[in-house]
Amino acid sequence: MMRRKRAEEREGIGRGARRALLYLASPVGVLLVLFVGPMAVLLIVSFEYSSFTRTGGFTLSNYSTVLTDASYLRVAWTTIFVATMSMGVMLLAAIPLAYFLVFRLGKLELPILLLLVLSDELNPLIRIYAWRMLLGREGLINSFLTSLGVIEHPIDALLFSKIAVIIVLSASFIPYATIPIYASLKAIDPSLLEAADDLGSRWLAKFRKILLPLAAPGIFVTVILVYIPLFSEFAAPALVGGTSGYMLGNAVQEQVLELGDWGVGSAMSFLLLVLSGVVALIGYKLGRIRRLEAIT
Amino acid sequence: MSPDRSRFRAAAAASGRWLFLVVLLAFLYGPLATLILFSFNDSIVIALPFREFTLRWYGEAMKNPLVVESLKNSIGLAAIVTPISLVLGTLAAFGITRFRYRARGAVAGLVGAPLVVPWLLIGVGALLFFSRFHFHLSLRTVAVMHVVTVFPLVAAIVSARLVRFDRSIEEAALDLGAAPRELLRYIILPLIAPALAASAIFAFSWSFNNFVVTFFTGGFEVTFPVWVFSTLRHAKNLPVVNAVSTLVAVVQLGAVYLAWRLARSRTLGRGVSSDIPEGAVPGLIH
Amino acid sequence: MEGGGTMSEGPVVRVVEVTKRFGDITAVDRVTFDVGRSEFFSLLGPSGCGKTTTLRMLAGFERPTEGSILLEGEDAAGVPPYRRNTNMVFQNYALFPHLTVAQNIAFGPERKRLSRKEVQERVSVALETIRLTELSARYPKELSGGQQQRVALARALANRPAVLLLDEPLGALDLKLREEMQFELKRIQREVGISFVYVTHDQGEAMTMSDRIAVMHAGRVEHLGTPEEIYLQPASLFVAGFIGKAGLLPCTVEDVTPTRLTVGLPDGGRAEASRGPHEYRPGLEAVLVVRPEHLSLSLEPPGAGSSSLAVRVVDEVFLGAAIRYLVEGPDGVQLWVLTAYEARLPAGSPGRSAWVRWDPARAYVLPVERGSAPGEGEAPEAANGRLSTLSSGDA
Repeated sequence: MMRRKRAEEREGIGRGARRALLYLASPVGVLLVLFVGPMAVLLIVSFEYSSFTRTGGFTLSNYSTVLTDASYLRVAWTTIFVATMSMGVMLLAAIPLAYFLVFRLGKLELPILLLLVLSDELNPLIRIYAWRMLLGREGLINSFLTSLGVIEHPIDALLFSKIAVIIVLSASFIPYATIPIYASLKAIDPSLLEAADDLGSRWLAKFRKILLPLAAPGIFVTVILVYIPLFSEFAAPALVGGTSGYMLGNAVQEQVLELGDWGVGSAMSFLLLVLSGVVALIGYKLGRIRRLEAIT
Repeated sequence: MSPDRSRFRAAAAASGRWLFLVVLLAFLYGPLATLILFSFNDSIVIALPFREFTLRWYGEAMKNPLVVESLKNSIGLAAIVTPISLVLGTLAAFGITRFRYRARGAVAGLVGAPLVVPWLLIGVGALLFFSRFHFHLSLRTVAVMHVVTVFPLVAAIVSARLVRFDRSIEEAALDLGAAPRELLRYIILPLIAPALAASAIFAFSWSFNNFVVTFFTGGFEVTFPVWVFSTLRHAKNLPVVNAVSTLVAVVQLGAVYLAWRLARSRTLGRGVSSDIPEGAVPGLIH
Repeated sequence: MEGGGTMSEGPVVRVVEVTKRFGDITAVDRVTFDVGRSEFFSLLGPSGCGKTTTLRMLAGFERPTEGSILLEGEDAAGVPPYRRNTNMVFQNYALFPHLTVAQNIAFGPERKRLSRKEVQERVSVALETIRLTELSARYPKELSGGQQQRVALARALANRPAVLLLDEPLGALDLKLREEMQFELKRIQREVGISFVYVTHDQGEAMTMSDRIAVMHAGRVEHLGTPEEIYLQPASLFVAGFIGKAGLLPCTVEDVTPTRLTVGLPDGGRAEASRGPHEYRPGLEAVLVVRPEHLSLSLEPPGAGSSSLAVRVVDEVFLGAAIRYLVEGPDGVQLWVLTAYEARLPAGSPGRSAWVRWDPARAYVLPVERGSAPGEGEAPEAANGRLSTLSSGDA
């Protein structure tokens, strides 16, 4: 039976390719010109001189600058720190939330899910601004706490700091992070859990042996889907990060749009791209392996 | 464990859950709630205590030409980007799911790539690309890049639906006398309509909300998110921003909520899976 | 290709030496058959035998690699499904979920651009035929399996095709419903007068409903004939084992006459049996095919000169009106014997020795080379060991 199916496929391949072309011509064309094109230009420019003193011509100086200059390394470190901390906070919220949604909330599952999806719809800029309102020295949180007498002086570190960026990014990405985990938990066959209950396993064992492995693919997907955008975030750091919350995204923006140094800007971008690709690949492979483990 | 202790445990767990949920929802919606609250505050400084209730910020917002223009631009942009993305995305979905050929994996990867590559990079790349070829930056370049970033999402959603499509229904239609065009019109399109609708909603809001790509590829025309960013970048918090943001937020959330209700009533409880597009994203990449 | 005026003469479907290959796999191998007007014709065989592929070629969903198919006298090569005068009832019904029952049925006539009145009429007639008029406004998901199946049938019938193709339509139904539907299908076919080409793996179903059956195995038609012919004189070992329960006794041909054969049995005895349309010669390895109801079992040795075999009674099963005995002969060959209740053996017979006898006119000899399809040929020894377990058909 299997041999026949594969043979059937092979027979269809020639005709399939031709007809598929009809459908794919425009989308693929658009992508090749307007997606691959810009990526290619990005790559090329990263190897060119493009400062005020000199433009054009092959060079590796952009990359060497980015990789060796101390200030860039500091920015890279901040970015990694902020991204990882945000990821951590997010997972702390998203995993229990996904678990509750699937197993513990009953009728509330859909309304809460709706609230999650809705909050994701909100314009990110509005969200960042709203937090800025809350976090400042004269912001609402501080005013509230001082008026209550809980603190004497307003907490400075709440705004224009790494913490601010972490808070804002976590809040922004929680819904986005919860959904894949929710999806993979939901796909678990409930009879598996019943069987586990039957066999008398305690909650912790059930969690470790069944839930975690089966949710792992969802968690890995989340990590990939979220880590990559986190690295290149720049609106949030720009509005609430101040100088200590300055991230790679801001650096790129500054280089490209303000300083006109496209070479360095694109070199940074391209390194970010490579980094994203590596993270995606690792997460993908890990997710695949875990899923296979869970099934076999 | 004695029944009392286990009941206590259950109660404790339940209240722990409630606490968690309340804190979470406060975290997610608290900022928005206060933003809305302070859009009505009669004070230029956004701080406690709350003074008088006023609508003057809304008035100011509506009179501000930059605000009006940015809103118009954002809506117009989304209105153009959405149909184009629907068409391209659906074509791509058909091309990937309905035929078998060796390059299929590569094509799927290419179509899925814009969803994985950070927007920052797409924006910067596009900027460099356009200037390299001497294209003037404007809303047109923004629209183009929006389409490139958005139609893969449409492709993902529609693909997910097509993959589940029962082919024997198509054969039945052909067998009963429907030519391929009729098959498309009377059978396939009606049955993928929900996926198309969901795609349209996501495409529209994605384009409207988009900041990063727009920021890099836009010219002098400003969209709503870009306006917010520019206004706030070098200024303190302004109630005008609150007012406009409240309006936008209410419309956005309201529209999506209505769409959700509509989808639920039509699919009669089958709804949840069609509302999880992010699940479809890795699916397309695979 | 025949000329015009073929509408009232000649078979509705002609399949001529049709072969279908998928890569290096031959799914259908030089299949040939005709289907006449108003005939209920079945393609019967185990899964993977090529019957569904053949049906799909008739419908136009697959193209023959070799050979030709003629529908109403015209070559169907290159004609797409939507232009053929055939309609199919799918195994999973394939009803359009977004249309009501009435709209589903109307779909075909509408595609033919018939007037609204004509479409309405066809829909009501179809609904009446399947007796589901009151459900016309329901959606498929609101119907039971049996009802969906009838709607699928009505939908195909509303098109008034020359041939109706049915792909294991009753497979998903439970036993009682299946039997009811078999009756219904036969009735409808008689009423409407359309030729049916019916694919199934259930030999009981095929035998009950068909005018003629093509038994398929590994892509080839092993026997084409009426249910009676197939049952009493199977053309091959496979058919013998597939249809009903059969006792298969290895033997050797010893003497050949125009009407009878004398064969040597494994226990050394000799017996008589009838011959079929095959080549026989002394010394030929063969198989004696006897149906359980044509064997008589007795604890007394039979008289001299009768065709019989010494066996040991192994098991007995009470079937209500009859008893079925399992007996074992020489070399471990097992045979079923179906005996009327009145003619049963005394109680406590399992374990005892007995004799089975048969009327030579009811026993049929099959040369062993005519066993399974060429290429899968079994060595005679292997065939012997397996013969007794070939009674795979449902009783």
